[in-house]
Amino acid sequence: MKQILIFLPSMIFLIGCGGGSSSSSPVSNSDYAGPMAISEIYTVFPGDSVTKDSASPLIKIIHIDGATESTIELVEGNATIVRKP
Amino acid sequence: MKIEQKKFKFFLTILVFLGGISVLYAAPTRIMPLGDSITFDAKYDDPRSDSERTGYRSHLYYKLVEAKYEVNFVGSQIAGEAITPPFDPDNEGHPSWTSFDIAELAYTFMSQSNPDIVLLHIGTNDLTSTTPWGVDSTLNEIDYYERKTGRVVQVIVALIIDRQIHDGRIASFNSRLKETLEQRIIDGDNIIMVDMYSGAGLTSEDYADNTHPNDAGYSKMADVWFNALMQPYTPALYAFPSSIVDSSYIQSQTVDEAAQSVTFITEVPDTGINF
Repeated sequence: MKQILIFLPSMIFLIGCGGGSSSSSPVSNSDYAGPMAISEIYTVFPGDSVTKDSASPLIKIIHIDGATESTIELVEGNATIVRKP
Repeated sequence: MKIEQKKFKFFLTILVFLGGISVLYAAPTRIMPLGDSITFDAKYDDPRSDSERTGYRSHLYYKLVEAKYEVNFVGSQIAGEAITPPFDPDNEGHPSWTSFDIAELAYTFMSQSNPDIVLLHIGTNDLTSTTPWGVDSTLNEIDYYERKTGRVVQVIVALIIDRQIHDGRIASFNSRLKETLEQRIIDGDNIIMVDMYSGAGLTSEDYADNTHPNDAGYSKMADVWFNALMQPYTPALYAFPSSIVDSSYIQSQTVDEAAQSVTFITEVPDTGINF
């Protein structure tokens, strides 16, 4: 019984985290570091940075007042997300 | 050690107390009425001294105070200080100045007074010119001030009032000004456009002479300014983009007050963008 009580919530947790499309969910891209994909949405936090990999990359940034994070999206060109160490 | 601890707790308490007071006390909003004789309240054959001239400013001040809006009018000029009830007589109204005259000194005015908000009504004295370039230049100077100081300034720009006898030049000026302002807003400029031309509801009865409103007319103008000032405004949203990337890289910017968000598109500088 005890094992069932441990097993079931774990399964629910794993199923919940594994569901949904990672390519459109900003939450699942909140720790990704590396080259950005066009139209992919990422979440960045204080200390993170974006560097350019091509001549004139454009990114869209959305920020909500009072929030620490922002969401970003590569619109054109190439850029990389560098996470705070 | 116990005495030291007590001293520490005492000073900590004082610091927390002072911090609480600073949070409770919000500095008044610095508003600059910027314009010509309509802002200053000068008219033809006017026997009044400057200390009696109020224009829309007194009406607006009383409305703001009644609405519990903490306001501090700023500017290098003083007019209306003798009237009662008293109001803040500071302003940047310059009788007979054109929009181009205002543009030449706009940066100086901004630097001297450091306003949070500018109420801009200029162009009446541009005479035969219908171009909005004097207003456009004034807004550029204000943008320059923002870049130099890092301050955020909201500019409420008026489509200007007509003369008592309809002036077709003013209608043309306003039409071109409206196009200019709409484009600047699309480009992310922190501007609110207000329509004094048809939105203030001025009639021929509201004029003291062919150009200047009477007190009833100025009260109507104050209503328009007041309604604009009562709109939701979150300066931090306008300031955020340039806080992380130089404004020269920002291509467009939109603030959504309802959603309390700012969306902007920017180039990535060689030095990157640090969040």
